[in-house]
Amino acid sequence: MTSLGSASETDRRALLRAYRLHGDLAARDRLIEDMIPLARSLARRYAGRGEQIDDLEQVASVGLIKAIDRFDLEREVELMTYVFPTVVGELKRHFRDRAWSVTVPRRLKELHYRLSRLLEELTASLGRSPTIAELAAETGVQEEEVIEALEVGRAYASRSLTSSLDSDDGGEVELIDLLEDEERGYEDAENRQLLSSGLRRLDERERRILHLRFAEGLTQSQIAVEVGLSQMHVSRLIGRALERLSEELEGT
Amino acid sequence: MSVVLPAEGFTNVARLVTGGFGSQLALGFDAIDDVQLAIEVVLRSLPVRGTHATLALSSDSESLTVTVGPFELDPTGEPLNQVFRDHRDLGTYLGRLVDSVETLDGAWPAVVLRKKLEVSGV
Repeated sequence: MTSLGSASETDRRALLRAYRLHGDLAARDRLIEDMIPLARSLARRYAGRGEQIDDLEQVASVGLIKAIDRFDLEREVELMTYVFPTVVGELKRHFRDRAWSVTVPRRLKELHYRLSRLLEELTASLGRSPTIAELAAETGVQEEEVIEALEVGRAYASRSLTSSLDSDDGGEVELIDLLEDEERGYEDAENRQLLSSGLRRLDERERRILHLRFAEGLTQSQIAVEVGLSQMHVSRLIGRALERLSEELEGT
Repeated sequence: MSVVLPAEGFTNVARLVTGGFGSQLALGFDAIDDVQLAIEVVLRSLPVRGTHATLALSSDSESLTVTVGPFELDPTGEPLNQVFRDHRDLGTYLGRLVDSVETLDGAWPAVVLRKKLEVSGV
């Protein structure tokens, strides 16, 4: 049985209402705190598949926050019934994004995971992006190995543009279905330019990341904090999205 | 230094070489990744002339310079800088990834990317 905090559905509704209607961030924090055991429990179900449990719990937390931020108060369903598929959807998407598309030696995979975490730690402690030499010194390997391990992240599978993904209510939607709402948020001229042709074919998260990188000029590490992903994951998503845009450009 | 790569399917090699070069210059991960992405975008967006592309990397005290080419010009002879004007997205993305983007027309049409060397604090 999945464990939950002490709040009842009525309590959770009240907290959610306080947050959504009155901007009470403390209420939101209490709600997250109350439901985080559920998210962690769901994350543990996906353990043993080559991902660190800490990373999975972080992904599940992102799913929980998304659910809390998006849940429609007018709906006659329990918050729990919305949180569950949203968190599971986030975990599934994480695995889909991180499936290795080619055979990569275990040594490099492990180093890649270590570097992914170290990158964030060093960025935070140094206040800037670490150099390869610093990453090598911290991991005790040669710089060449660091470069190689960073590069194997590119061996993650890309998701097809035409593929479907889990929707927040547990169903599946085509990527194209997600585009309309997002576009309303892009208003200035530069964004309109960025929205031309190929960008319309990317999913919501990829477009948000590209928007943050190219329209708002955030660095990868800043984007990582903003969207709750690792810096390396952000780098990979930018690369993948730009690859698609380049393909689009070729076709024009 | 310069590397000659088959036009198709070797962008990862270009990334590795750039990673190694950037590492020697003590560039941060962010900066190296930006340059690698910019090279990828150029190689994927513009048609290489012939079967191989040349990636030339150099540096001075201020910046890392990457020259990629040669590219096939449009059958109508449209210069590369016109290609950039026609596809504003390309220039926009590259402009965010590196500090300057230039095109070389003439006998060896190429794209020149420059990234300023950041102070890493080491």
